[in-house]
Amino acid sequence: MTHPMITCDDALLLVSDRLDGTLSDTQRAQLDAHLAACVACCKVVRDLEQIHADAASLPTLTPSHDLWAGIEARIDAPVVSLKTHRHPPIAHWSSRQFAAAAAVLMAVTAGGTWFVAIRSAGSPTELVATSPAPRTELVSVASEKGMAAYEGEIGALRNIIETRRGDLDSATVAVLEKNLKLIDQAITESKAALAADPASTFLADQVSRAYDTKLELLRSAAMLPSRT
Amino acid sequence: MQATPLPVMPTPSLADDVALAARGDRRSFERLYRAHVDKVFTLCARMVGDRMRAEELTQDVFVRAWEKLAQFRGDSAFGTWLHRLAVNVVLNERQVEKRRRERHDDGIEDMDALPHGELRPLPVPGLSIDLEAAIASLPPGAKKVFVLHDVEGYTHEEIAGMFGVTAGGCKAQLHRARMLLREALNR
Repeated sequence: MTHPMITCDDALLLVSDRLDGTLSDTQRAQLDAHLAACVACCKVVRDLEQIHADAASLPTLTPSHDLWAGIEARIDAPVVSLKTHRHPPIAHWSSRQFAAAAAVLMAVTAGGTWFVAIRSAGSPTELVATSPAPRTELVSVASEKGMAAYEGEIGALRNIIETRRGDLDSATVAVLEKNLKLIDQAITESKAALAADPASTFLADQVSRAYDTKLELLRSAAMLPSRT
Repeated sequence: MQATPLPVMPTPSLADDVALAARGDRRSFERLYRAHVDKVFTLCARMVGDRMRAEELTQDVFVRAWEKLAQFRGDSAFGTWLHRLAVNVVLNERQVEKRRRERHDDGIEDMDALPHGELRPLPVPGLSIDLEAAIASLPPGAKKVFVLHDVEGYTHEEIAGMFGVTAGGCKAQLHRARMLLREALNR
């Protein structure tokens, strides 16, 4: 069976298909017939076959230095994208809304964990919770056990939020982080003041309230609806 | 007296590391990074033709992988998932770059309008260069298609899906890339 001769341009177009193994029988016969009579195209085919083979066996490259430190730093301090989004209004909490929510939560939960200092002359300070704490079983933020319980719950809620971070509205996450930073600053300052004046029930209460506020904010964030 | 041998801690498998890293375990994720960084870097370097930029992109890929790992369902091998993620990061980077520079340098259909070797100077005529340098000197679109098809082994259909073009357009771009490489290597 004979096949019509094809031009050099047509032949070169078929060469790529031949390298990819997608030539039909007819096309292969046409190309072979052309190559049998065209030295120039034969040279092109040989070159392209060599490039194709070399490309498939190129070595793996290695970065000039270990990139892990930079990656780990970015993982430790994730950058929250503030790019424009189009999500339902429910996920768009403004700073003011978050602040208002935090204030409300603070008022609601203030009685949840509060402390009365029982102090007697010459005896160590002992703080005892005297009201039920419906969401936590904290005894005292001033005690190691109470602090650990707070931190444990905060850590657990943080993990949930981190897991859901990709599902949450980025602007909401940014506001959340900003408010958490403010609360953390309040906790740090209250604890420093309490350390300087351990007898102050007011300061102990401030620390407790700040922790409660942080917990409530984290709980609210953990239950935020996913963006759509 | 014969000493009691110390217990040997089993090395976590890749699947273990993926599962642990998805739950936030940094050490597991670091092991995944060390196992895959060269492949990711190689892909990035060849697709952008710039080693420094490729190192930045490699970091972007792993940060993105950390963020997305919880969504990895195991439908494909982790390496395949990570490789595809790397391709998307590089392609997205090109789109961001395109918007930033306010010019049309992406997509594979409009590459003919671009000067060759945008990211690297053209080889000096008469001076032979190796295949790696020749690939780096290709126009961006042709380079990406060539690397994805001939080096990384993606099909025309897969590449067409990544770029949002037809398989025929992808084939044409690949043919062009091969011919340009031949021309560069025969200088």
